[in-house]
Amino acid sequence: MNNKIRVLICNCHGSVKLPKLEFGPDTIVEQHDNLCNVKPKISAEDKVVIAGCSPNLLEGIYPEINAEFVNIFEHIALIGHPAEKANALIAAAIEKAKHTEPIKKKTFEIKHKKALVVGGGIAGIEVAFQLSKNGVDVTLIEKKPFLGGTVAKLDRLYPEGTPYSHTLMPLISNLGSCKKLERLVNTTLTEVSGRPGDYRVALKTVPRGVVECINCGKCIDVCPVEVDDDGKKRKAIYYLPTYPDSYAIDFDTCTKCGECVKICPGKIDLNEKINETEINVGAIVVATGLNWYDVKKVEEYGYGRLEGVMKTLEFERAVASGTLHPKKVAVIYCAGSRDTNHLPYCSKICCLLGLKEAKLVKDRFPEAEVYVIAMDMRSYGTFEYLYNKLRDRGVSFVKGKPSEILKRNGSLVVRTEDLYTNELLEIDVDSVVLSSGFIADTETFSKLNIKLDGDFPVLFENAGLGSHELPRGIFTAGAATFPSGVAETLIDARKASSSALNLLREDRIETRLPQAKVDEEQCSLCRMCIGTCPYKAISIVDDKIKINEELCMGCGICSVTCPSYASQLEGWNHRGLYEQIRALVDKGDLLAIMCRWSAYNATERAAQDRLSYGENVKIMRVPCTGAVDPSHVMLALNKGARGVLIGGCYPDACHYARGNFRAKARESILRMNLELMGMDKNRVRLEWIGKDEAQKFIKIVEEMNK
Amino acid sequence: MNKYAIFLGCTVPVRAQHYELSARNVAKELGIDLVEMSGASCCGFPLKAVDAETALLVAARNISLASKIKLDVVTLCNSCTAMLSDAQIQLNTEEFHSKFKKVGLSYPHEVRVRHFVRMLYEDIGIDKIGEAVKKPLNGLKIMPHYGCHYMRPSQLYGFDNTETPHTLDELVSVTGAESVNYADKKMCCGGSVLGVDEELAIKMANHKLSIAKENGVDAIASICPFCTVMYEDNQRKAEAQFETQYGIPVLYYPQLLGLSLGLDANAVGLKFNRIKSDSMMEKLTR
Amino acid sequence: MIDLRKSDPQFKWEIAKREGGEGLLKCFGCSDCAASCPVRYFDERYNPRKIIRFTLLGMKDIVLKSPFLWFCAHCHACTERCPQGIRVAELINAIKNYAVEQGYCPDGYKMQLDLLMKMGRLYEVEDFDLKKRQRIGLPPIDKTIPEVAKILESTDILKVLKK
Repeated sequence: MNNKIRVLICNCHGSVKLPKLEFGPDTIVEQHDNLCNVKPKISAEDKVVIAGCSPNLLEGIYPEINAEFVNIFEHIALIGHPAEKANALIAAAIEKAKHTEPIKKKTFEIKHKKALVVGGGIAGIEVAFQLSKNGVDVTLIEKKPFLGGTVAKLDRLYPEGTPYSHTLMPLISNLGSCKKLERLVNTTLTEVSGRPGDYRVALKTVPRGVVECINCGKCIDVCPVEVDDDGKKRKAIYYLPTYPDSYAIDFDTCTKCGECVKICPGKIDLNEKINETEINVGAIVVATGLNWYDVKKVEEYGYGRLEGVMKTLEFERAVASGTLHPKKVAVIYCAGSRDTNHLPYCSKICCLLGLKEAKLVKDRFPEAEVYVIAMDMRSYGTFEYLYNKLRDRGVSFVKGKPSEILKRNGSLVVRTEDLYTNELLEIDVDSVVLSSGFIADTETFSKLNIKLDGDFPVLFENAGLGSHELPRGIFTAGAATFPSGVAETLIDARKASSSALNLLREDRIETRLPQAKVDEEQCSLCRMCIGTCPYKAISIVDDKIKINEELCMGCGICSVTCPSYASQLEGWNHRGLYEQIRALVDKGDLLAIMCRWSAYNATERAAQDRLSYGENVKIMRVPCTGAVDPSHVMLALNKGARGVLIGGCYPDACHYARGNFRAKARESILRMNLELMGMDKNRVRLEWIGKDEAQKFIKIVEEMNK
Repeated sequence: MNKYAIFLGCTVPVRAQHYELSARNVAKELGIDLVEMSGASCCGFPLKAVDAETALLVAARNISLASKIKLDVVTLCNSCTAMLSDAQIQLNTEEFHSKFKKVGLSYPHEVRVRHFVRMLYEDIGIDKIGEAVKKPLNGLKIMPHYGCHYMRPSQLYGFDNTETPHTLDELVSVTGAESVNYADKKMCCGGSVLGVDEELAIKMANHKLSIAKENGVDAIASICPFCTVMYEDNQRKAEAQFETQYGIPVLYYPQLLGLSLGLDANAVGLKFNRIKSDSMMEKLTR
Repeated sequence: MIDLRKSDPQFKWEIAKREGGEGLLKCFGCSDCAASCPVRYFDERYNPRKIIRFTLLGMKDIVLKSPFLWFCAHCHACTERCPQGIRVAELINAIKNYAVEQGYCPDGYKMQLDLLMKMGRLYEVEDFDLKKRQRIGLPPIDKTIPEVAKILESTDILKVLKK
């Protein structure tokens, strides 16, 4: 640890004409000729300024240190600007470094090499198997009395129509070979606290009723309660050939008449107690699967009101179990999907489920007439072949969105316009299959603080795009992430397994993403930061502003919003930036404050394309335009800058969702104030500059220099 | 006591006096006080297609009359209900209110606008009406026709259910008559296109008339003078255009309700109905 | 064939900025409106989807000159069902209002306007009507309501119609 600031200057094999090598008594200057290859020894505690080529490149080479970067290659050498300008840039970076606390790395101990898998459908089963196979201790919980989830309810899987058991049974038997696996059915997650590597989870297990079972099935014969289980009849006590190998009571419908207790040669207890436990895990995988939209809400289609109108699952089970012999069927797509009154999004798989049901009818009853009514057929990828096949099989396709289903003279009438023929059609059928969409498991997501895009987890996050530097201990797998078919679910489950494994195999993990910090003494609890944060990372806990480290992305928007300067972004604190600008700006300069994700890259691109611009243009790099403080802009103008250009991402392209909109609002106010002060408002401009838009950057600075 | 300003509109006071008469007499029986709106004009609906804003201003002027006497408005015509309701909602917007004030109008007191039948359902209620029924219309098969602007657009009303409307069915059932359930209950009478294409309008009216015939109903219950023009006044034309015979009485709902409350045929203006309901009445006296 | 060289790209924006027209651009052409429409059910010459789609394509003449624009019964069956939340009946009405401004007003509406100017109501109240009302015990009503003419004169509606 050295109190002096190390200034590392790279001449890039002599291609950069070096500036003076003296920056005052607080600095130690070192000269290098290829910092990208020869890495000098630097401690994480050192304060470092690196003057070399692009920070985008150097940051990747020196990920473990805190450094201020000055680009003397693209911003000086390549465009022939004088070495004196490089001096000024470096000196200003040194001023910033002097007043900037190094970013403290956060490390998380992976205390529990154990995972919780929520949901015992195919995704959860596969994740549990993959983790367990790799030596992780796993607890798999399922809220229903049996494993298997949605797939166990199906008759067949698209595209070919292979029986569900071909897929599910091997997955279930895989679990038998797992050593450190606990399977808890009838169990739900009630509460979660902690952080990656160290979560405490509360679980609740409700009784299955059947304590000892020899699978004789006598209970079914005596149970008087008949239940319609999504189109298939069963009793209130029932069995699924998955896991566990024991009958169970569906207490939602059981009347507790006691007949089963009397006849059971094993043991049935109708009054078992609820069991609540707590476990500690290092990672949690959410695999809660599909949740059907309540299609009854699409009232014009008469579900629950008109006999013969069914959901896809019910229809499939009724046909498969031989209780339904449809002769004329209409399959209606988008029943409540892509509809602002219901589900505004496309659930992706319902088009394929609809095709599957059409094929099921044609397979079982080749003579039956099938109409598939879709406003759009989204048989994406190779599922198009299934669509092709069904046209060959004589299924009739109608393009439109039915307005309603009527009951007329005993049959169901589907009224729709057919956009293929431009005619209004009325189709008389005996069965209507509503291919409805799916809703997200928002309850589990909110318990686990999972970031959502609308209702579903942010896909980019899940793919590791966006928050790759954040340690994450909670993953989603399969249809919980977004409705998906069996193949995609299993692929996603394997991906989630490896993400969880990557975490659990480490002893400690660390992050060096800068985060916002709040100085409690300065904070006046005005709460303005809470509303401004695009990630909902700020909240009040115990009368104090608290920043959720898992959610904070380090944009710095809150630090500019805070009227008390209590909120600061690590590495970009207010004082440091202030000193940097004070040192950097001279009379007549044009200060360009550029977003690191877009405009800054355009300035480098300009140099790479050998596009030059005025020597008075001095470029500063910021994490986001939303983190540009108007008082810093005013400082630059007071120091004699002829103008300040703030360059950021295009409106919908902000890396931090809406930092650029915040910046735009601040810019308008700034310009208004300039006018009020009798100054030219055009001295401050916020511009959208894409990462390749070197020409645009040049054009703007030329305009501002006129 | 329930007290309302009654808005008559253009058609009812001149062409459907039996509707007005029966509504007033039913109100009396049920203890409802209907107060006249002196100076009330056309609701404004006929102007909507030409200029929606002018139509709203005409409607809003009518509302201001009720506002001055601090009474909620009940209407007898579906379209008047829609037009006045729309204006009433618009009056709460800054933009429209300023235009409204500009023409010298005022809205000192917030008032609601509802259809007379909706008021019966909401403020009197099925139970209370049931208690007041003295001569139940047992044995009658009545086909309720809701009309469009009784519950649509739902954004305006938030009343009943636009896909499966039920309030008029309940109100018909409470008289002791059987309310016939049928497909296309929500279908439009065609009244709005009568001025544009008569043949088409008759076609639309005929649709429901034929359903009524198939179901062997004793009468259609209407709650809008426009719908009655289509089903009653134009029934002959429909018979001619489609070479069939209907002879189906079209009664305004308050006429039916009045009969069940014990009012006589004159008190509900039965003689003003173009299609005579003799056979229906015979069934009742039997 | 419809020649899109004749399209007016501003047309959709003109409609979208009017009260009721705000949802126009959301239309994705599912035709639930047409399937719900009672007029279209009996007469295929009227089709709300086509009016909306032609408007989006900027085919101003086809939309404004069509006599079928005026077939909309304003029954709101479409409004209730539109999956994109478009107030379809109000949208069609906004197009009608625009058509009137452009000089395409059917005579029937002009006649109704004349009646409202003269009497403030659509049907003349004759002495015979007043006597009949009195006879059956109904209260008297105003024969004319001149305030309506004042409102009509205060807006642009008369100027627009004279165009």
